[in-house]
Amino acid sequence: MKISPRNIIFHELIGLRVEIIDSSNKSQIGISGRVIDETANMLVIESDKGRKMVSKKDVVIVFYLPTGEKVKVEGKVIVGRPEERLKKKFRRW
Amino acid sequence: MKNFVTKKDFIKDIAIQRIDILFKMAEEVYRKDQRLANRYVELAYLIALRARVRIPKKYKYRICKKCRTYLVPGKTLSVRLRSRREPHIIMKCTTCGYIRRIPYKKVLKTLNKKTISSGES
Repeated sequence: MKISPRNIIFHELIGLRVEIIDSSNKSQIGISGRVIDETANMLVIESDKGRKMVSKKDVVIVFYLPTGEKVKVEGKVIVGRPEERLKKKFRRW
Repeated sequence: MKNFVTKKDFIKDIAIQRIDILFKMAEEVYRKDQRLANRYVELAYLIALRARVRIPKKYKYRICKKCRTYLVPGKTLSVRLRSRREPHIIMKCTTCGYIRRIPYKKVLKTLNKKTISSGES
């Protein structure tokens, strides 16, 4: 099964194009670019103005999937180390 | 969409895809940023451990077993053939010096058998 809005929280975020639409830090709103790295609590985004570190838990992100779909994700859902996120327990909707 | 019998299958399927993506990204990014390439490969390794999935054979020799750097033939990996004693391939990681030896005599034998048997039938 390919990356889709249903399984994005278990899938690889590195390489996806993103845009931040809401954040508790107002200067972070509007950052867009590609995700180049990921830690437990942070996303590293390569934007036009350089690499930006964004805290996952207080941010709302739009992911642009390679299929052309757009997914709006609450940052709280994707907190966790990239390899542990694979087995994360999450209520399916 | 596939229907998965258990959650385990679902996880393993996603893990294999993620490993594939990460190795491709590593190859892409290696020229610009070698650190990042190493990071991607390490992540792929960790995902394989977590999900109990084997790293696909085409990527198996692209990661150092000891220091987990991304191996690029000609840059971080040297490949040599040795015919003395048992014929084998030597793959040496140039960052940590770890040597991996892979025998190739058996492979040749089995290959010959296969070609002969297929030729007869």
